[in-house]
Amino acid sequence: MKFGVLIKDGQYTHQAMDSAYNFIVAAMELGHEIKGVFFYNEGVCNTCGTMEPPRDERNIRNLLLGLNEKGIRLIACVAAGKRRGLVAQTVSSAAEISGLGQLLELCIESDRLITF
Amino acid sequence: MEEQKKTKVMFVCRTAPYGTIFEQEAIEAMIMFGAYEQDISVSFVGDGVFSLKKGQDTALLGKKNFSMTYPILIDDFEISHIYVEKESLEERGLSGDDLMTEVEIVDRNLLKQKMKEMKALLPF
Amino acid sequence: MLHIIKKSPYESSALNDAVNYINQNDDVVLLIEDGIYAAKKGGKFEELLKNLTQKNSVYCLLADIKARGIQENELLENIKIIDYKGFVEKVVEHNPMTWS
Repeated sequence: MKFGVLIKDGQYTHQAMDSAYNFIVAAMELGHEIKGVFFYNEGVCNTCGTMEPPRDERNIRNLLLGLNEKGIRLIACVAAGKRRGLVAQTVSSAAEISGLGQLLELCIESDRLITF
Repeated sequence: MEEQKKTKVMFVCRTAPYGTIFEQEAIEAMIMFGAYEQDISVSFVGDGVFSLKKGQDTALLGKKNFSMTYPILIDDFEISHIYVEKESLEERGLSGDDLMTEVEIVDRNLLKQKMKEMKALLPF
Repeated sequence: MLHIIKKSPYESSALNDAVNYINQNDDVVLLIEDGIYAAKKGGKFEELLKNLTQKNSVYCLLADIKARGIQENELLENIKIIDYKGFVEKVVEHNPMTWS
């Protein structure tokens, strides 16, 4: 099955990114396809490329790099990103910045859209 | 035939305006989605119904009044339906007369059926 | 539908709002993150959850109950526990709606 994932909460303050990550890994292990992950609201902050949490802590920047290496598209909303200081210079190399149309595309192309 | 190809997406708005950004960014998404010729509807449930309250004046707050967008969502932005849950309005001491625009006030059971028909539900 | 509830019922209307939109017999409920506290025995939401489990399957996410120190025997009867793979399977079976 094809899944689209929407992440609306920011990194570290909320658990959304962690739940989404574990869901995505499990879905891929079961042979499902992730059409893309769209970051909206404070969720765009998960794609910040300059995060440096303490070394003994799980690192969301690295989690995203891992997902991207598996071929998953990670898309941060341009308008929500700009509002929060996320631009080409600050976004993670794992993610791309694009418009809300990409979220609608995910709704259309995926069998299921799941929000975290 | 053409109608069947459209993807049905519903925004489910459950947060009051101004206290958080959810209403504002939901509206921005509604406007964008409207341009793609899909079947987009919007529903207001729980505190979300406060977003439609008449007479919002954000001058003292120093924020834009986003509620002005609702009356033109259907005509200018091709949104198919705006539903407001009747029970949520009543619980909050509101009725259709308190709302700033003509919307479809529906009871929970009907809105539940509408939700079931959607391909994707977007909570805000 | 699969109703994913991810906020504690003590802080959010997520559970109460979701309950109004659960189709009896057909829909499935999954408690994740702080949402799992709704299923704790002896809590304020015990009655509501008991009624729910009579007509609908209710699941708790294993990782979230373990992280919060909630043991299986502290959960209400008829609440089932699933891991992330089980979560994925529920989303395959039902269209998800997240309540936060």
